[in-house]
Amino acid sequence: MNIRTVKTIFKKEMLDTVRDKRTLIMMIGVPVLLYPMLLIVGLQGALIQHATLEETVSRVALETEEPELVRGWLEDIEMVELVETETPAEDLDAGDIDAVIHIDGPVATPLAEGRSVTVEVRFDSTEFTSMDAAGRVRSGLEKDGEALLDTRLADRSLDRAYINPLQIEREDMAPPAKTTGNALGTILPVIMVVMLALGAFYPAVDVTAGEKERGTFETLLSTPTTKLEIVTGKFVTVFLLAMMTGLLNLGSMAATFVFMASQLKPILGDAVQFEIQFPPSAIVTFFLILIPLAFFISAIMMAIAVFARSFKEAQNYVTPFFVVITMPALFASLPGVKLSAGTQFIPIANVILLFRDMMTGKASFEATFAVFLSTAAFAVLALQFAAWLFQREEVVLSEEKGFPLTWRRSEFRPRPTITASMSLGLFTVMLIMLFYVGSTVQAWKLLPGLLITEWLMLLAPILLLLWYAKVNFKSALNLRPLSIGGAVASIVLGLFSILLVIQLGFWFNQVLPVPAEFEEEMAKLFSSDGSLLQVLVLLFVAAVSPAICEEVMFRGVILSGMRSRMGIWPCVLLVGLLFGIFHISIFRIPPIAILGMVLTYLTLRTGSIYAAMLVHLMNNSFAILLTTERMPAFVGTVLGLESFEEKGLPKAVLALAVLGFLVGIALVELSSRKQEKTSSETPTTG
Amino acid sequence: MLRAESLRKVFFPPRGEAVEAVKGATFSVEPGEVFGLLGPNGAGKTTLLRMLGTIISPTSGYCWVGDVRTDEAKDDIRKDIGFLSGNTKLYGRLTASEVLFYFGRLYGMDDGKIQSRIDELADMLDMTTFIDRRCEALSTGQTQKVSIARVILHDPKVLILDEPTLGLDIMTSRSILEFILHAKERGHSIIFSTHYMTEAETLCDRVGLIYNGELLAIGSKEALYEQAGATNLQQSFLNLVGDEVEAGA
Repeated sequence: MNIRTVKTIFKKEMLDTVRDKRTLIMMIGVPVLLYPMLLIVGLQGALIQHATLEETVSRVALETEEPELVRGWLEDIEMVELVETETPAEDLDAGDIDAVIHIDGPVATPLAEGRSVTVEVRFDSTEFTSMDAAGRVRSGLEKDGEALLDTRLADRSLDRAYINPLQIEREDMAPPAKTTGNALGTILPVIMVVMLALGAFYPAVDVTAGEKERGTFETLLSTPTTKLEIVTGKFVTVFLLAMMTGLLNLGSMAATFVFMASQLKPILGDAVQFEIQFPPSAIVTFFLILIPLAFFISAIMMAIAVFARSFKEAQNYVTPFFVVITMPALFASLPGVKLSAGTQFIPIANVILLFRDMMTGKASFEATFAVFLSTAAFAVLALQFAAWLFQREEVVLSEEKGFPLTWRRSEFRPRPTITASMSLGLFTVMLIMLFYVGSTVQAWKLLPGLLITEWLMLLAPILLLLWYAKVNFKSALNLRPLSIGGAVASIVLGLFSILLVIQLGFWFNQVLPVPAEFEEEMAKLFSSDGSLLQVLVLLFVAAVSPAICEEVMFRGVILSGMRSRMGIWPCVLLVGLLFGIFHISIFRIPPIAILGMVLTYLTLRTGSIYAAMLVHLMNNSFAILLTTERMPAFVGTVLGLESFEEKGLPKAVLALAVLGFLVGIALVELSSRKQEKTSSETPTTG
Repeated sequence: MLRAESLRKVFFPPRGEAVEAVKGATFSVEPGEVFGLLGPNGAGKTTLLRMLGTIISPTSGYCWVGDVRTDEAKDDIRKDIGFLSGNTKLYGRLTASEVLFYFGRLYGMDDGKIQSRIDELADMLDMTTFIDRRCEALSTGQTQKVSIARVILHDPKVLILDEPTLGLDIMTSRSILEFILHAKERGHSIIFSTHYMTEAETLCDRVGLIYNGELLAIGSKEALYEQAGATNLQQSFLNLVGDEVEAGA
């Protein structure tokens, strides 16, 4: 990918967008002018309304046998005026009076006898003036009632406490920052998601369907740019504009909110406490997560819009997406929904939940990482999908109505490997499957679940995909025989790499300690009564199966796909890293990624996936034998494993491992040279 | 030099039968040669030219630009191709000169080179008066001139022009045809498709008649007249198509 070309496309798309009035109005006009204006005008109206109500005297009619007595009570009430009327009910309905005070029967007598009198305040809840009048009358009469009560208590020489044995007080101990944090934490990210989507919408449609409609797509395709460069240039435009619009909207809303709060403060007084506190770490993390979120939304929108042949058609396709993305947002705002192992992988919902946790100071590092990882995974997948669509001539050049894609096997041409971008796509799909299917079946029953994950979820779909897309199994899976020299070299390198990886795990554990629950989970995997049969079963499930299935995936399809695009060392780093990420937990990524790099290196150098399978098998078997205590005792003694948890491996063992590792590399290099001489077949795939 | 060997394109519409739009085309266009592709609407001209321009890939068969087989080449191969069709429009919100700059950069040219080339082409195609106007404000003829400038900006070896004179007035048509002759003198390999038989007669060194996805005849005008027993291209075409229809019936 040529960066200059991507930049050229990006700059042109930006210029094109900026010159489009429609987009400008949507992006800048609406947030900067429309919202604040609507809100401020609305607020001003409400304030004026409020002030008028304050100044209006309430007209109240009286319906009682003893008007003189009641009138005496009412005299003290401010802003209330008594009016005489024959037809109070009708007048209230017509709005001529604001409230009616209605008392059945005598008043003075029951009061003197120590009984109570029912005073009805009749009002019309559809009229603000009537509501106000009722409120004024009610609070005024309550004061009169209190005065009457005081007289009665004084007559009997009783204290007020006598009639109030239990004084109940409620106090919200949550600091104002927490309550506003909770409310804002739910609303803000939902708004943000919608704003990002709005911001991405016009540019995404404009650079895809818009370009098709204007007939310029084919012009662009006739230039020496790759599809990936085109997608990237366009995508960066959409992504930046989405982020810009999102932030602009958020800023404009925040400003309006602060302005409104300052206007409302004198009226509401202390009744409502606004206190917004963004912990600085929350702001940083929010932006960090906003990036993959905007990435995800922009990529999906582009992918949807590229199907359309015109701006209007694209609008029809993309609009349902707004509904689709608000569903997880609604789900996340349901009471009781929390960020958990299940919800942290639901796109969009997870970001909203995480943000709420952050605002109330509950977000854990592990959860933040999981949300970031899964959002990034969805984002990459969406972009992959968009890029793949751009490669399809029937999508980009479609002229007929209807869905342009078909997947008939007869249309595929035989090929040696899948493409690099398909590799990345496959990885992401499998990662998402692992989140959902893998974790579900393993939670159901651990060992059968693991078997299902390895054989049915990983291996079977991959083989099916290769067959269907007419990909050559031998070259795509690196199924070349392993020479004896290569096998020996692999065993040596593998053995010492395993030791080094164990030590790396120990060091990493000191930087970021593995939580106790996590270790328990791992221990559960290896729990065994120690019978030979059970150990054998465990070896098959957790050593043989991953060695075959995971290797087919990583050192087979993914590696050969990547290798078709990039050099040996980038492949080693990338495939190793993907292998680490595939084990989901952040605590395991670094050591497993390093192991993955060694496995990738072995496959590339020996040309054979069997080398990686062998070492993968060794590594997992070693771990199982160790934890089930089936390892011969001398191994533990030699490696000094008794003191491993405090000190790691003894220095001598470590030095030996480093030495052995170097010897292993030398052996691998030597055997691969020899192989290149003897066989004409190159171990790389093109 | 441009060469096609057994080029075939099958479309698989989501509904309905597969359509064989081009049924095995083999021919070549030498440097300094103008090759005309004649045929009615829906004959497969555009599909064939799109394959040659590497806009779409053939279902089977190959094409070469120079010594490079296009399916083995990277996207860079398009540096040697200038492709123009009814579907290669210009960006309306950009000025003519911005459009040319954009494409120049995509073709990997540096800005100085692009500027001098634009000046040269603006002179040659008489575009100086509207070079800084937005493309949406240009007339059809002016737009076509900018498109032509876009196609030869990077001085490609091969020019693929799909109906370059469609819908143009006589004056603009003539300037486009003059441009084609000029490009021929400069040694470009040119293939262009057209409806207008007279255009083909005056311009083309060789002609290919395409009907229903099939190249019925290829050769110089004289050879085609002889083959079809006619005195002009139009008659030759009708005679040959008539034979085809009869043979099919």
